[in-house]
Amino acid sequence: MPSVPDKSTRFMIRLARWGCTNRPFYHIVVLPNRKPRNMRPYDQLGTIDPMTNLYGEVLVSINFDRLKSWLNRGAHLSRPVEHMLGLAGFYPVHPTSYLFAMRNQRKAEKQKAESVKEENKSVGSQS
Amino acid sequence: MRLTRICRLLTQGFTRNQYLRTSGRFISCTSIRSDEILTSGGFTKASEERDPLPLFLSEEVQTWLQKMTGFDIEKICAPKPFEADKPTYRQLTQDELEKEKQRAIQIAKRRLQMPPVMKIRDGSFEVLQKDPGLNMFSNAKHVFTDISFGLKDRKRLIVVREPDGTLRTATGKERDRLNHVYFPEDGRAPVMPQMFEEEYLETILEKGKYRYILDRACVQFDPDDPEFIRVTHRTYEVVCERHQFDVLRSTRHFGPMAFYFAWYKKIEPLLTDMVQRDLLTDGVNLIKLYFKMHQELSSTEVLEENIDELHIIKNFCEKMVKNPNYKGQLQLAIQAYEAALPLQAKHSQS
Repeated sequence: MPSVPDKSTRFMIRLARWGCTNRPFYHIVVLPNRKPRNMRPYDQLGTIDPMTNLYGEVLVSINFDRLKSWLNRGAHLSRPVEHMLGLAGFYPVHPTSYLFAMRNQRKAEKQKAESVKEENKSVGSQS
Repeated sequence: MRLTRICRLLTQGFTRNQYLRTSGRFISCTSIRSDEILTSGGFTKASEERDPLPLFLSEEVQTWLQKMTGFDIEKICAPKPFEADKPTYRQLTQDELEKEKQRAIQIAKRRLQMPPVMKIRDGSFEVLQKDPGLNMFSNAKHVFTDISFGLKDRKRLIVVREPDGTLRTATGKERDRLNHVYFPEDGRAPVMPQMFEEEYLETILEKGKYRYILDRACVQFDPDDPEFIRVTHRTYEVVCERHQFDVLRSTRHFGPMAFYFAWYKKIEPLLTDMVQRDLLTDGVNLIKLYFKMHQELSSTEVLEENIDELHIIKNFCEKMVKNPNYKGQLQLAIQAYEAALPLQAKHSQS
C-alpha cells in the first residue's frame, strides 16, 4: 500500500482564484484533485471575497444544500475550505485556525511588551 | 426555536459526539439586544404591547382602507415622466374595448396594493458560540451567507464570526446589506440614498413630493425597517400638517396613512378633509377603523344603529374629539356640508 493515498481522481471542494492582480477573489468549486485550478468546474458552491469591504468584513457565501450533496457523494475538502467551514460553524473549528489565532496573539503580546519596554526606556532617559 | 434550527443546520455534517467534544469550551448561547438605533416616532412604544400587522391584514380593515383609498383610474394609470414610449393606436370593437378596459382596471388594482404596516423589526442577534481560542484569528469580521436556492430573504441564514472568535447571527442592518449583495433588488441602492437623511428629506417634503418619497422608500426598505418607518411617518405628519391628503388618494400609500392616523389617534384632520370633499362613507369607515383599533373606547355612543353617516361623524365630533382646534375645524366642515345639502338637492333635481 502506498504511504500517501492517491487523490488524483477524487472530487475536491476547493478554491479557484479569479479577480486580478492584487485583487484576489475566490470561487468555491468542485473539481477533481489534479485538474487545472481555473478549469470550468463541475459545480460552483460559493464565493469568497478576502479583501475587507467598507465595513471591515470578509464576505463568504456558501450554497449549503449543494455542499451537503457533494459531501454525500464523497467529495473532499481542501484546507482553506475546511478552514472557512470551521469558522462558519458548519464544521468544528479547524486546528490551523487556532494556530493562526495563537500566532497572532503571541505577536500582539510581543509587540505590546516591546512598546512598554520602549516607553520605560524613554521615560528613564528623560529623567 | 429559531436557535435550535440554526444549531441543527450548523452542526450538520459531523457527528454529535464530535460536536460535544469541541463545544465543551464554548459558552452556551445567549441572546443580546443589538445597539441598532430605534428611531423615535416609530411603532416603538406600542411595539412592546401590540403588533399592528395582524390588524392591518384583517379582511375588514383592508376593505375599509381600500374603500378610503378611492379608485381614480386616471390618476393611478397616469403616465410617468420617464415613460416616453409612443402611444399605439388600434381599432377595436366595442367588446374588445370593454376587455381592454377590464385589463386596465386589473393593472390599476395591482398598483394599489398597500405596503404592509409593521412594527419595527427586532434587530437583535444571537450569540451561537464563544471561542476564546480563536481570538485574533484575523483582523476582519467574516460574514457567511447561505445562498442555497429557494430561500427567502427573511429566512436566509447569515452568521458573523467576529475577530475575537464569537460566532453570532447577523443584525438587521447587516442582513439587509448582505441580501442586497447576493440577491440585489431592482431599484434598491446598496447604501441608503441621501434623500432619506433627515435634512434632505425635509427639503423634499418642503417641495411636496410625497409620492416620490413614499414610492422610493417602498423600493429601498423593507416595511419593518426602522428607516422606512421613520421616513413614512414623517411624510404622513407633513401631509397632515398641510392638509394635502388628496395627493395620496388613489395611491397605494393612502391606506397605510389612514391606518397610521387611526393608530396614533390623530384622525381628526383627515376626517375633516373627508367631510369637506363629500366623502362621508370614507369618514365613517375611518371612524369604524378607529374603534376597531382602540377597543378600550366604547363605540356604542358614536356608532348607533340605523343612523346616517353624517350623524355618526357628528356624534364622533361631539363625543370623541378633545382638541378644541380640531373640533372647531371639524364642526365648521360639518356645518358647511349641511349648508350645502339643500343646494345639492336642488342641483340633482334640476
